[in-house]
This record gives sequence, structure tokens and C-alpha cells, in this order.
Amino acid sequence: MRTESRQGVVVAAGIDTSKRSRRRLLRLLWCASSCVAAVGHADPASDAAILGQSSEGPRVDEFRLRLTSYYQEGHGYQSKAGTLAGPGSERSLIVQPMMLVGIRQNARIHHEVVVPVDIVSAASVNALDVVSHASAVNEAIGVELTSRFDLTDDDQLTSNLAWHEEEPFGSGSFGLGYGHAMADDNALLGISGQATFDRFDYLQSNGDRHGRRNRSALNGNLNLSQLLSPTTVFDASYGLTFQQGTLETTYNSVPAFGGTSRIGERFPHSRTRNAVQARVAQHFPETHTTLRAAYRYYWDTFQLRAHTTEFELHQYLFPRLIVRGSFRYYAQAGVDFFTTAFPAHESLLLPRTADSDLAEFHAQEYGLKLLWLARGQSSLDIGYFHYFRDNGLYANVFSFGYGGGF
Amino acid sequence: MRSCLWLLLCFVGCASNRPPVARAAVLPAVELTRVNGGGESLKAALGGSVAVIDLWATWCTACEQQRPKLERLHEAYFARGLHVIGLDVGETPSVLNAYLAAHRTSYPIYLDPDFRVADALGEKRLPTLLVIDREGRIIRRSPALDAQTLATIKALLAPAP
Repeated sequence: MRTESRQGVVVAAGIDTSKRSRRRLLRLLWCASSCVAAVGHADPASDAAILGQSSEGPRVDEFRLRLTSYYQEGHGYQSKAGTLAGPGSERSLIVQPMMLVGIRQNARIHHEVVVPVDIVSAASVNALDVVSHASAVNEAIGVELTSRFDLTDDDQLTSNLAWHEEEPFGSGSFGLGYGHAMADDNALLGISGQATFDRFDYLQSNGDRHGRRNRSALNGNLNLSQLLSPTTVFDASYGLTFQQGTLETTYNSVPAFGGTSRIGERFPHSRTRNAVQARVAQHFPETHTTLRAAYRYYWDTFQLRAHTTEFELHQYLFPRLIVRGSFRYYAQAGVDFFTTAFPAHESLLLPRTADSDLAEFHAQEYGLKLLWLARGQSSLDIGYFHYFRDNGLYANVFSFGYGGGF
Repeated sequence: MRSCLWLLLCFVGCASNRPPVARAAVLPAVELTRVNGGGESLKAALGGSVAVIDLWATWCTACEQQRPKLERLHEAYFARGLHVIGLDVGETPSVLNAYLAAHRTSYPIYLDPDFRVADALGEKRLPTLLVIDREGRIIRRSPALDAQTLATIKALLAPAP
């Protein structure tokens, strides 16, 4: 069940079921359990028959499957899959099946369990492949549990727990969020925090293994959504993340000493990251069109600065068929210790990276998605995205999704 | 990049020209448009009965999922004086008629192509159910026909002690 707003064809499309809608539904379900028993006169039909409910108890109310394949091709200096002094291959194929199950525990508590599975075939992503060529494929699996609790009509608490495990890497995280609806549900204020802990093998670029290393991250977010008009929603957010520990990708390498050798990547021990974002969505009822625009500015203590501008167009082609076109432009000023040739006279204690993700570049992404809303609460979608950037990397992403509600 | 930011700010500025609508506490004096043309006042359409107004649209999947419940509600309580009406919001007669040709409803459907009635009712979300008492007061607003909404309807229909 989804509540939809005129400005929210996006929600109607099932692309993004809003937290507020779900909260409102949960609130009503909670009220129902206390009020339905208060009416005692004879009924011409039972409540359960009219409402089509078999039980108010725990039940699975949502099920989604998604298969995404991500193929990238390009070259980066951090990769050893090339010459000593030049960039190496960044070719990678990632296939990610994902399953989501929504569980209604009772009228006030709802859970979502997500199980993503990554299957990675890579020339440079997997450290073991780079240094030993022992395997061409790497698998990763995790589980995420997000729970929502209605505290009052206007207040909601969320929690999430996540665990991820793959070949030389394990990660766990937990977080809490609080949302408060204001101004007759026309505004929503949210605050959330998350802690993440990673533990991984310290694999050097030459293949040596030096025990285990850790890193951790603390993240906080503040978000305000405001209904500006019946067809316009504005949203602003700020996020702050503090990371510490072994932040580098330990098997990444940097060409050094005039191209005669490579040394390992080295990062500062901590990093503070900031991001502000503003988004607006405008719905045009006459044409069943929704336009979304967003701008994001990112900065951190590695002196990385990034601007992202994004546009999305959602258009109903037929009553049950929606097309979504998207465009994203991204411009990044690289970290101040990026280099493709580490000088011989510099101290090896200095931070350095040749990772193309941290270089200066401009990127664009075009996307097209078709969503078919089947009868009942089922939906099917198929999407294609093409990403490319001006420092030698491009990616093609295909996705296929199925969703059902009960 | 700067031009993108200006475009975004312009977008927000333009959008804010239309303020959110105020919520009505009683039925407003507005005219409904019948599917086959012609008008009828909202109050006359409800005839002083306990009523449920379903604001919906053909593209709204959540509205469609709710329709069987409303059909059963209408069937069960019409004889006891409940009036259920549907108000198709923001769509043209041709779109609605094409839809109704394939999806028959047992309760009356009206049109609100320019959001005039929805704005007068103070509603901006679909689906929304309004529960109206015999005096024309809006007793409950709900995004779904849930147990509490049904309990409210039954309480309004119950004979006075």
C-alpha cells in the first residue's frame, strides 16, 4: 500500500516509496488495532471481509528482487595490471542479485531485510587476483536489517544493522534515525547517525600479507523536507562523516622512482567528509510528468571537492508504464596527494595515491528506465545507465527488478 | 556549475508561488462534475448522509488497490445510509471514461480535472478518503480504508442511543 501525492508520481511509480507514506500507513494500522474493537453493533459484513485482511499479526508485506550488472572498462595508475610506470586495467564486472523482504511485525513496527550478493570478476579490484592470479572471481554477501518504530503520530524512530563479508574483508554497521513531521505533515525533519567498522587483511601491492587492519567511520545526517506547493517538494540535507584507521586500499600501488618501481598507496590516518545537498521535485498534473533536480557539494580534509548536478524526468507513457530519464554531471578536484609518479627524493612516509577515483576528473551519466506497474502491487522494471569520465573510465550498468506487495 | 545552481534556485523560487492549500473542516460549497457532463453540488451529491469521498486518479496504483475495499464497503453499508463517491482528480473526461469502460464501479464517480474540489477540500495526496458525518463535517482523513476508518464510519452510522 502506498500513499501518493500529486507531486509524487515518483512514489506512484514505485521507484521510491517515501518514508512518510509508510509511517502514515503504520500509524493508521496502529490506531486501527485500538479502535476497531470499540464498535459493537451488528455488521452487515465483517470488517475483515471489507478490508480484505486475514490477520493483524506479523506478516510479509513486501518482496522485491533486483539483478544489477555493472561492467567497467578503463585504466588507472593504481592498478598493477599494466606497465610499471603506466596505468593498469580497471576492467571489472560486478553482478549483484539483491532481495528485499518487508515484514510487518505489528501495527507499530516494520522491518526490511535486504540481502545483497556481489559477484566480482576483476583485473584489479580483487587484490588476490592482482598479486597471485589465484582466482578470477570474488564473491561477497551481506545482510541489512532496517526497522521502523512509530513513537507518536508525528515521530518515528528507525534503526539499521548491516553485516558484509567477502574474501579479505568484513564490515559491520549500525545506525539510528529520528524523524519528526511538522506543519500538518507538510514538513519532515530527520536526523540520523551511523557507525561502521571494517576489518580486512593488510595485503600489500607486492602480495605480502601483514596481518589485519581496521578502519571505522562515524556519520551524521540532518535532513529537512518541505512541501512548497501541492505539486512541489523541496529537500535539503547535510551529512558529516569522520573516518579513521587504515583508509587506503592497501594493495593499490603508485608508480615511483622514475617508473622503475611501484610503492604502496598511503593515506592520512583520518578523514573528515562533508556534503550538502538540495533537491526539488515538481509534478505537472496535466501531462503526468515529474521533474527532479538536485545539486550536491562535497568537500573533505583530503582537499577533495566535488560538485554534482542531477536531473530526472518521470513520464507516464500509458497508465501503467512509466519511463524515467536521468542525467548526472559530476566534477571533482582530486585529493592533494594524488600523483602518477612519486618522486625518488620524497619521504616514503608522505601520503600518496594514484587511484583514478581520487584524481581530478569530470564525469557524466545517462540513464533510462522503464517501469511497468502490474495489477495488484507488482511491478517490473528494466534500466540502462552509461557512465563515463574524462580520465579514462566508462561503465555500463543494466538492472532488472521485480517487486510485489501483499 | 554556477549556472546549474542558478537554475536550481530559480526552480525553487518559481515553485514557491503556489502555497499549500488549507484543510477544510466542513464540506465546502463546490460544484461536482459528473462523468457524463453536468454539475451537482457536493452537498447535494451526499444528500446529508454519512459519506466517504475517495480522491483518486487512474494512474494511482495505491488508489486502484483500494477500490475493491470501497466496493465492498459500498455494498455492505449503502442500505444503511452510507454514500460512497469517487472523485477523479486532475484528469480529463476522456481519460476517465476510457478507464471506467474497463473498470466498472458500483458507486458514483465525479471529475475534478483542475483540482478545484480537491483544493477546496484541502487535500493534496492520492489516495485520500474523507469521512463525512450527516452535518457535513469532515471527521476523518485517511490514505487508506483501514480498520480505524471503518470503525469511524460504523460509529457515524450507528443509531443515536
